[in-house]
Amino acid sequence: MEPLLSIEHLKKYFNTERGIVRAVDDISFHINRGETFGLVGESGSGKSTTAFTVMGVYAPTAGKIFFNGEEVSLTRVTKRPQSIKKEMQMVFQDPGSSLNPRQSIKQILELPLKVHKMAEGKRVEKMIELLDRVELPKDYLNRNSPEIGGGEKQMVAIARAMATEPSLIALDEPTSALDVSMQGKIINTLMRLQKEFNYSYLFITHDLSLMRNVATRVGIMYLGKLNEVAPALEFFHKPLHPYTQMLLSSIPVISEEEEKMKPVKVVSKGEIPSPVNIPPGCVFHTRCSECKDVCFKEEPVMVEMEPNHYVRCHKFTN
Amino acid sequence: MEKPLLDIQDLYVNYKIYEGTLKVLNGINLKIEKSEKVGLIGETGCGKTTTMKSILRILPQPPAIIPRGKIFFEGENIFEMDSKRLNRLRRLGISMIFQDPTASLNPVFKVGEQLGDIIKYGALESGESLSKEEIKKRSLNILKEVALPDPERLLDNYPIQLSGGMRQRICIAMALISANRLLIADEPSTNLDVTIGDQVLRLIGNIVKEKGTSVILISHALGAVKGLVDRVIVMYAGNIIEDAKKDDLFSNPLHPYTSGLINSVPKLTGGGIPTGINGRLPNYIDPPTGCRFSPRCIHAMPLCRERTPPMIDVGEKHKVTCYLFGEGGS
Repeated sequence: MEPLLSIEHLKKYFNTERGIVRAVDDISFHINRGETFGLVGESGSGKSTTAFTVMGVYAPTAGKIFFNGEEVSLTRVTKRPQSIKKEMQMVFQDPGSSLNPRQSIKQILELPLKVHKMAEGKRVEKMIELLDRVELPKDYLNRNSPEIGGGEKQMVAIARAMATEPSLIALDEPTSALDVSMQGKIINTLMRLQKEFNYSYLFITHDLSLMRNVATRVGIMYLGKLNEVAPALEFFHKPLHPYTQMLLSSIPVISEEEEKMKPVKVVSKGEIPSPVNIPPGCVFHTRCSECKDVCFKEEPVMVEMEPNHYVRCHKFTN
Repeated sequence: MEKPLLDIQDLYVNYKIYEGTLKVLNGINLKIEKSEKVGLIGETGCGKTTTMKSILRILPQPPAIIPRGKIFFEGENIFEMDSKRLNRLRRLGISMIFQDPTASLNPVFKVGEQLGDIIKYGALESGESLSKEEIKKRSLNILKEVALPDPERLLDNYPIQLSGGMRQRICIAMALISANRLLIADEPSTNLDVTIGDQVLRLIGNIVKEKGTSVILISHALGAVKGLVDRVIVMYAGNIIEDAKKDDLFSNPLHPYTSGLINSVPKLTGGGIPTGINGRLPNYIDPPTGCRFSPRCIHAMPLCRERTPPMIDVGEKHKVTCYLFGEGGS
């Protein structure tokens, strides 16, 4: 079956005073209907830029984005047809700054309905139904966002993203601003709604333990490039790329079983280089423990090691 | 028996704000021994940072009021110290690493100046007057100790020119200059990436081991706490509710809040997302009577809502405040 979203050789560069920042540099992946595609990576690796470019916040520098088989990348966001914009929505990291504190929840939820031309008489009913999806009582419509807790705010942000009945929702670190005790409730609600409405999620997080429990497939980004893409189980049990191994072995865990499944400790060293001065050859060679001569010169290519398990490392191409 | 390094006795802290008085700390009793590594966990707003700030006496007063309580550091009551003694304590005894390294470094002074000042005045406190060369030599040494590359150049940089991980290392370096006896690390790795956070925690672990410094590590990342400390203290709504050795606490959490907190963490081995703990922290203006966790507790009994449960011993170095345990011992 044709994937819902597919991205081919997507690039997004920014011109800055210090030079060109290659935030997203030639990545390709796809998201199937009803699945959760996870993007992990350190800050500055280009995860959010990828999501923003897919959503149409940024126009891509190069590459193509297909949605339902239709190319949606050439046009700038203002020119994407409403019927496409309606299909893709986003939930941001910090609900405190993504909800207008001077608006009531009713005004916040009503805007997307207005923009997408829902008849006025039907809106209240729809808004109550949206709040019900995220398990909030209907009297919340008359509250302002500063009056409600952080977790509830994020629930409102989720309800707002669902207002246009999209098929793809980008979740950019939806729980990292919240306590763990709240995280479970939000994630479980998202998972339940995915089953119910067959949403596809582009899930961004740096919390790998969380990713293990939500994603069907995971891609790992480093300096604007995808290093490894694999089904979630394989990604966590048989990581191939040295960077994936380093990241997984760095996670602090609390139980013995988790400690056992981590790859052999790869001592993490160095930091992610500046995206203005991207190292030549393989971008990870400055921190890699298995670096060879070829890594300094040539950029590796993505190869399929197992069905659906892709990795980009010279170790696997001879 | 030797006196503990730090001894907090019956500490209460209120914040007086427009809406009323927030009764935040509700009788904290805590002892920390020499060279002990302790983790402090709990949700945001449980009073972890307030407790730590009271130790250093850097709570802004007003709005904070300390109606009751004593804090002894090496047998001396911190609340009775004059400003001279207090400065000495901050320069030579205790220091703190804050969550956000960007906010704790001054953006308009070079790293070398900020480090140099701490070294200079710290040394003055112990009666040494250092030359410029000596200060620079010591700055370079401490930067090497926290594994920063090219320390010579760093001294001449402004904080903004460095990455988050490097800034946090500089903060650790600064804290280490003065932390001879107690280092308080308030979420040192929360704002950093996994790999960098791992490096920072390893660094703190190595240095305190070498110097025999005591550590209090505050963190939301239970895994990070488990990696570094020997003993874990759990706080909820201004009370210490459980205190145990690390392995005991993670394998056999007793208080319903502790087990809820531990179960909320998604597992790397999979198994779905736990449901978390229902409800949220109580309103501090009018906190629930009895056990402050009772409104969220699935085991709550009528007694829990009437009287505050006392701290009881339930095993070797394992203490808990919950009526489910004790009453004849377990």
